[in-house]
Parts: sequence; structure tokens; C-alpha cells
Amino acid sequence: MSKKMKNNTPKKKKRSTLARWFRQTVLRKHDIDYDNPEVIETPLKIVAQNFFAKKTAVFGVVVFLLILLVVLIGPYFFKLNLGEHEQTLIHVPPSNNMMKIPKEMHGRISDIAPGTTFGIGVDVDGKVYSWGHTRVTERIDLKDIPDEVQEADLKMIAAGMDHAVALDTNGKLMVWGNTRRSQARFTPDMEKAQKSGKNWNIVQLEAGMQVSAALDEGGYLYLWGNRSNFDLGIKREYQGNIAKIAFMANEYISLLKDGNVAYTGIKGKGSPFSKIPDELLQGKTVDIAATDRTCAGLTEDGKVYFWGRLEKGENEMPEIDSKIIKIEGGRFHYSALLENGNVVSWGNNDYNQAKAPAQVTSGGNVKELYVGNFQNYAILENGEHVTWGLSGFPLGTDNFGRDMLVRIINGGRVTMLVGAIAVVIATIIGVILGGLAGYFGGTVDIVIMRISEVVGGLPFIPFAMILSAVIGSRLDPTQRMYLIMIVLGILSWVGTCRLVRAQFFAQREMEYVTAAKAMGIREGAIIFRHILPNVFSLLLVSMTLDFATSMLTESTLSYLGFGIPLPTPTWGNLLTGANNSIIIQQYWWRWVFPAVIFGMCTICINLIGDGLRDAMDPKSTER
Amino acid sequence: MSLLEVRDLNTFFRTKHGIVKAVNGVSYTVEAGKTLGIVGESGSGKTVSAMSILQLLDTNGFIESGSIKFDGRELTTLTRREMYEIRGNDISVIFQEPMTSLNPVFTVERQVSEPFMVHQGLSKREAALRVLDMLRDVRIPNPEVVTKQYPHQLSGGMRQRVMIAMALACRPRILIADEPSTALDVTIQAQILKLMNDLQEEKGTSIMFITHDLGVVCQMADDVAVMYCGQVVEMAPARTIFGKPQFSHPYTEGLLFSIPRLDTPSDVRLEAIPGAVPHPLKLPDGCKFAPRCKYATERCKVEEPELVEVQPGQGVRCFYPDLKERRKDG
Ligand SMILES: Nc1ncnc2c1ncn2[C@@H]1O[C@H](COP(=O)(O)OP(=O)(O)O)[C@@H](O)[C@H]1O
Ligand code: SF4
Ligand SMILES: [Mg+2]
Repeated sequence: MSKKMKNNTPKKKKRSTLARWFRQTVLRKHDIDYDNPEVIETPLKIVAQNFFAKKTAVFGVVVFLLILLVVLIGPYFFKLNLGEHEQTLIHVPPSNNMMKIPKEMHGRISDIAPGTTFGIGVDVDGKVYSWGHTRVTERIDLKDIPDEVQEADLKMIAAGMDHAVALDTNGKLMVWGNTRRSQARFTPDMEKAQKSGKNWNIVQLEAGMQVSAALDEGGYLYLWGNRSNFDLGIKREYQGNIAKIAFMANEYISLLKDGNVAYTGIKGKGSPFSKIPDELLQGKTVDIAATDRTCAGLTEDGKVYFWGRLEKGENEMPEIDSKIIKIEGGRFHYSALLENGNVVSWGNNDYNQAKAPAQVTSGGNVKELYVGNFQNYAILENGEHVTWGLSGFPLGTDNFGRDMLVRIINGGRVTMLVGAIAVVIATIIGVILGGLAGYFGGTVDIVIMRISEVVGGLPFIPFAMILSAVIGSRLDPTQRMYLIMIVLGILSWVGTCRLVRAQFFAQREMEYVTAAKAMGIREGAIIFRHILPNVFSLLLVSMTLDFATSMLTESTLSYLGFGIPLPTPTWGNLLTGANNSIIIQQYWWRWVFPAVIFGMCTICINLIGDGLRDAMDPKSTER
Repeated sequence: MSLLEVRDLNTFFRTKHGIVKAVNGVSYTVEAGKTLGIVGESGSGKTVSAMSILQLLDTNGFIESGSIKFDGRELTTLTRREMYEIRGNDISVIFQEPMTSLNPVFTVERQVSEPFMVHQGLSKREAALRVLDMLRDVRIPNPEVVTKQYPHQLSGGMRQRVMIAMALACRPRILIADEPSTALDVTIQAQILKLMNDLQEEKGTSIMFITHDLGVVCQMADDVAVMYCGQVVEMAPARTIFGKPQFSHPYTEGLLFSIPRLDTPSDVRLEAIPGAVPHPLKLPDGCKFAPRCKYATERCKVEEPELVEVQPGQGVRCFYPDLKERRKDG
């Protein structure tokens, strides 16, 4: 044994198991002491070295692996809800500031009105602020607070879906935001009361979906706004008798001065909300609250009773060890302030709105609680504030109010899965047919090549569209996904077939094939076990590139509406809506993000494919 | 009875320009434990006649007629399946190009295991052990190392040893060696030839040794068949040809003249046979060698000679087989 070998031996022993595994399985290099001084390198190792020497290829691998990881693991954290449709969150731009109270207000908060995707606040000096996604329509931005509101000394504010209401200390009522749906059209008796000051000592100001309410201390309720969907009226017998009201999505309920709850709207008994629990009709109700589709009433003894359409866990109130003093409703959740200064939240938790932080569930120092759509603001004794719930969408939302991030991640999974399976199908068909044609030649070759010419000559997109339209209409979305995989696979094997055939033509003339035949090895085994491994490296390159192509084709089909149907997201059908100038210009996040990640993914795959090809072809590295 | 008996074999190829009669009425025999040398210029049909035995012709080739008897069994009428059992098991081949006749993506172990697994049904592990034995048999140093290596890591001589190991794996009765040493340099060539001789002694395998080099045949063969244009022009024991023969074919004579020998008379100039092998589609009428033969007569150009047994064990396809007579005449 030479000196050199002796020096090498201890080094080799130090190698970790992982490194050895990598060498043996990936680089196919075995830890053996060689007497023979020749440097031994397997072809795979050389390919790997060439490949990793190329910066673009390494970049491609890294970025692609990152995307792959996100797309594979992401869906477990960002769960997809196919039925999702959140009217209040449509076309929200990328944002993270829905609960970001401006610095100037910190410690000086006097009132907060949580809107759907924004907040309006008043500080102790009566000055008004706004935050979050305030651009409620294309033209209207709630941030543009009218001068009269800014200058006034505000007493109370309320915020709805697209408008805000403010009341100053002189009893003047002001509305801004979207006013096209009668949001600012006061009723005659309101105008009268405002002017005279009689029955106009407002104690509660509420705003909902394009409707608003103001409640006078004497029990007079004033309602105004868009009446088309809302039961916006009060039965005469209740007027002057109201202590508090709460807005649902299309109705409201009232707590009367006698401690009973009543449905005071015009619909009366016709409304599902008029079936009020008996316990709330004993004259002992102290507070009411409402979510979109449910109501809650709090009795003197601290018990809470729920009614309405309890579908989202609104009545799953946890055990509470203290007395509730105030209960507030969001869109699908409730939060309650307790006597001991803690807060509890329950109900739907899609946006973490029912998951109050420990600071407020056990801190014992909450003074005030404001609850809106999906947001909660708790003001502590020391003037600081704590928020939980929906703070925004990093990549915005689409026309159904669905989180683009969730859809991009889940869409990526679908697109990659479809692409990968299509490639596998195409490769299997291509390898079998190409292998047979290339190995046997003659008639077999002629027949297979004619078939492949027919398939290759089909106009791909129109044909796939026709196929998926004819067969697809009878299938459910999952079956359609399989259909697309199969259609893509069946229509795209031609390239692989030609490649394999050409390679087999070359390989079958090699002496090792004759040698294998002379060893008595059967034809099938020669094709698949002896020749195929020699073609495999090129096949890998073509598979990589085909993978990108398949993903692109799937996306094209889905974009055109012939691929995987909505609501299942794919990178292609995420772009479906982005075919008019309004979306392209105003809701740029709906196409920019899917396009960027998809583009990056396909570019990286192509970089990897090119890198592999160059790494395998020694001539091209010299260039 | 001979171990292998090829009789009147005609192997033709269909081509665009017509039928190529690559092997045209060839007969020879291989005796058990002996070596038959087949010599001839390139293109004379040596490889085709050998591959006809295993029915490994290109797709456009076919055996037109003739009989190939191996151990008394007629091979030409066997089914595909039966042929699989013969190949690599009873009759093996090693090829000229050790560079390309090993699969570049297989390790030596995988490659040499194949016949054990295919013909003897051994498991991978059992086969791997037998591979080591085989590598030792063909005198490969460090078989444990070599067995894990890929062909491109081996030298030409080593590769040819691996090929031999693979061919001999199932202890075949006949080894067809198609120019096994042509691509190697001289010292390695000598080593391989010695190895084959040694192995033949150890295992008693018959060898069919194909070469264009008469000098190599002289070292290896017991019997010699000289081929020209798809025909056997002379068949004789090696010692007859390399001794002082009374009868000989002019082509053999030419070949012998073209290799240097210790006993070459000093007044005879070493010379190559003039002219070139005729195109297989434009073979001359009469004797195929006539255009290049210095003894050719008018008769040779019109009439084709038969392979005639001029003395026991020697056949010559020439009208003038007697060396002295024709030298005198010519
Ligand atoms: N596939 C084929 N098609 C046509 N002719 C062939 C084919 N294979 C071999 N031949 C012809 O057969 C003849 C003999 O070839 P071969 O046996 O390889 O010669 P060698 O004696 O050098 O081994 C050559 O003339 C060649 O042209
Ligand atoms: S038959 Fe005539 S041409 Fe042919 S080898 Fe003999 S002498 Fe030469
Ligand atoms: Mg040959």
C-alpha cells in the first residue's frame, strides 16, 4: 500500500453516515480502499459536478425546491375551503394593517368603530382617524374624512361595510364613505329631532351593511339607509321603548326598556329571529349582541342565550368563571368582556377572530372591548390596546373574498400534481412505444411512427378543449382533474417517443446489446433493463422540460375554462378572472402573484432541465 | 461426432440493391475441447457465419439453407425460446470491441451476474459470489474492487477479461471469440490469448477463434478454416498449414506470405495480396479469388471450383491445389 493510501484511510473513516449514504446512493461511489491509483469517478458523479458548477442550474434547483416545499407542505397549514365566499372581503388588496391603530391614537383611544376591513377611531380629543383597507369602492376611500368630521368634536362613531357615521357633541350626525345607497339619507323624523333636539340624546350609534341606526336615551330608534334587503323599520308599538339594538346581516333585534328582547322590525313573527328564548322574555335581560345570522342575550344572572341560525359555532361559548358584563358580536363570532377584566371569544375562527390572546384572557385588566367583522380590539386599563382577528391578506383576496395566498399555495399543488402525473403518463407511453419502435424497427416502427404523427399533428389546445368539453361535462371536479391529467398525458407522449426511439436506434447498434443478446437475455429485458438505463439521463432532461410544458398547458386550458373548473384552484384558473382591464389595472394582485410564482416555477424547471442536459453533454460545458 | 457441425450454410441479407450472399455454402466443424480458427480478410463473412449459429443476425438477414448441428441437435429449426437457452449457456460469444460490448451503466458485478441469474436462476447475492470466482478465474487482480466498478473505469485488457468472465460464466461448451484481441495492443493481446489457452485447458471449452491475423491463429488453433467472400476456401489442421504443406489455396499462400516468419526463405519477398476484396454484390463468376490470383487461368474465370479433399483432413477450393505444380506452371 502506498503512502498516499495510508494518509487517506483515517480521513475516510471520519465521514458521517449521512455523507456516506449520499456518496453511495446519490453519487454511487463506494468507500473502498483502492490499490489501484487511478482516480475513479462514475458518470453520475461527473454529471452532478458539472451540474452544480453551473450557477443558473443551482439557482433553479434552490428556487424550485423552495416553491415545491411551499406547495407540498403549505396546504396543511393554509387549508383550502372550496365553498368559501366572503362578501365583505372581496378584492382586498395585499394588506396587513386592518387592525393597525395609528400611533397618534395610542393610549388616547376614546371610541373605535371596527368596519369590515378597516377601522375608524376617535381619540380623547375627539379627533378622528382611520386605518386598514379603507378604499371601499373604486372611487371612494373612507380615509378621505370630510372636513366637517375632522373639525368636529366627536362623541360617537360607527362603521359599516362601506360607510361611516359620526356624531359630534352638539348632536350633529355626519355620514361619509359610500352614500349612493341612501346611506346618508336621513328620515324626516330624524331631521326633525336633530333640529329640535327633542328625543335626540343619542346613546347608541350602529352601522351595518349600508344601514345605520341611532338610539335616543328616551327609547326612540332612528333607522336609515339601504332598505332593499334590510328589515329597516320599527313597529309603532315599540317606538320610544328601546334600550339597545343589535344588527344582524339583514335584520336587527332590540332590547326593550322592560328587560325583554323583541324583534321590533316590520317582518315581526315572519322573521326567524322572532323565536326568542323564553329566558330572555322574563324581564331580566341586560345586554344583547348579534352576529350575521345569530343573536345572543345576556340575563341578570350572567347566563347567555343564543338563537338564530347557529351554524358556525356561535353558541359554543366556553365555560366562564366570572360574570359577563358586555357581549359583542362580529360577523361569525362573539367576544365578551367579563367582570374580572378578562375577555373571552368564541365562534368561527377562520381568521383567528375567536382566539383571544392570553394577555386578555387572563390579564384581568381589560377596560373596553370593540368587536367588528373579523376584528377585536381590547383597551386595557393602562390605555394600551390588544387586537386579534383578521389583520389583512398578504396577497390580497379575489372576487369571492378568498385569500389569494391560500389559493396560490393550493393551486400550485393541483397544477404540479396534474403536470407531474401527465408527464408520468406521457413518459410511460412514450418510452414503451419509442422503445418498441426503436428496438424492433421495421413494420413496428412504421406503425408506431404513423400513430405518433397523427397524435403529434393534432392541434393540441383545441383538441384538449373538445375532449374535456365532450367528456368533462358529465364529470365531477375531481374526475375532471383526472381527465385533464390523462388527456395531457395522452396528447404529449410524442416528443418522448421520438427521443426514445432515436436513442434506441443508436443504442441497439452498440455492441453491448449484441453481447446481451448473445448472453441469452430476452428482448424485453434488453429493452427495459439494458438499454433504458442508458437512455435514462436524456429521458430525465426531457421529463423535466415536459413537466414545465404540462403545467403550462394545464394552466392554459384552465384559464380558458376547459381545464380544472373553479372553485378548485390551479395556477391557470387563478388567472381566469384576469381577462378584463378593470381587474388587470385595479386588482393587480389577482394576476401578478399567481403569474410571478408560476413563471418563476417554470423558468426554474427549465433552468434545471438545461443544466442537466449541459451537464450530461461534455461538449457543451466546454463552450 | 463433432461438437459443432456447420454444413452448407447460406446466410443472405436483403438490401436495397439486392441480396448479399454474405455466407455462401460454408461448412466447418468444431471438435470438443479443440480450437477452430477462422481466418479471412474483413468482410469475408466470418462474423456472419458465427452469428448464424446463434441466430443473431440483423433483421434483414436470414439463413437461406444449411444445417447447424450442435451436439447432435439441429439449431436452425429451434424456436426462439429454445435459442435463448442455448445462448450464453451452451454457446457464448466475446466481441472485438471491449470498449463497447459492456453496458456502460452497469457495474462489473451486475454485468457478470446476468448469465448466472438468467440461466441458473441464482439470486443476486449468490450470483455476486460467483462473479468474484469468475473474475479470479480470468486473473483479474482485486476482484472485490473491480466488481464494483463501471466499464469506463477499466482498461481495455481488463474489460476483455470481464467479457471473457461473463462469456464463460455458465461453462459453455463452445466459446465463439470474434476478434477478441484485435483492438488491444500487442502485450495485452498476448496476455489475453494466453488466458484463453489456459482457460481452455482448465475447463475443456471448445473455442471458435475468429481473426484476420493468421499469426494469431497459428498460436491458438488446432484446425483452421480460411474464408474468402463468404466461402471456406481452405480447411486444414493448423500444423498442415503452418508446416510445409503439399497442398494449399493461393489465398492461404498469399496470407502466409504477408506475415513474417522465421523460416521465410530469404529470397522470397514479403508481400501483401494485390487488389481488394470484391464488392459483395458484384462477385465474379467462376473462382471468387480469380481477380487477385496470380495463378488464375481462363478456366478459373468461368468455372467455380469445389472444396476438394486433397488429402485426409485438408480441403482446398482451387483447381490447382498442389503448391509445387502450380508454382512451376505459373
Ligand atoms: N446487416 C447487413 N446487411 C447487409 N449486408 C451485411 C450485413 N451484415 C453483414 N453484411 C455483409 O456481409 C459480409 C460479411 O460480413 P462480416 O461477416 O461481418 O465480415 P467479417 O469477416 O469481417 O466478420 C460483408 O460483406 C457485409 O457487407
Ligand atoms: S481456382 Fe484459379 S483463381 Fe481460383 S484460387 Fe485456384 S488458381 Fe486461383
Ligand atoms: Mg467481423
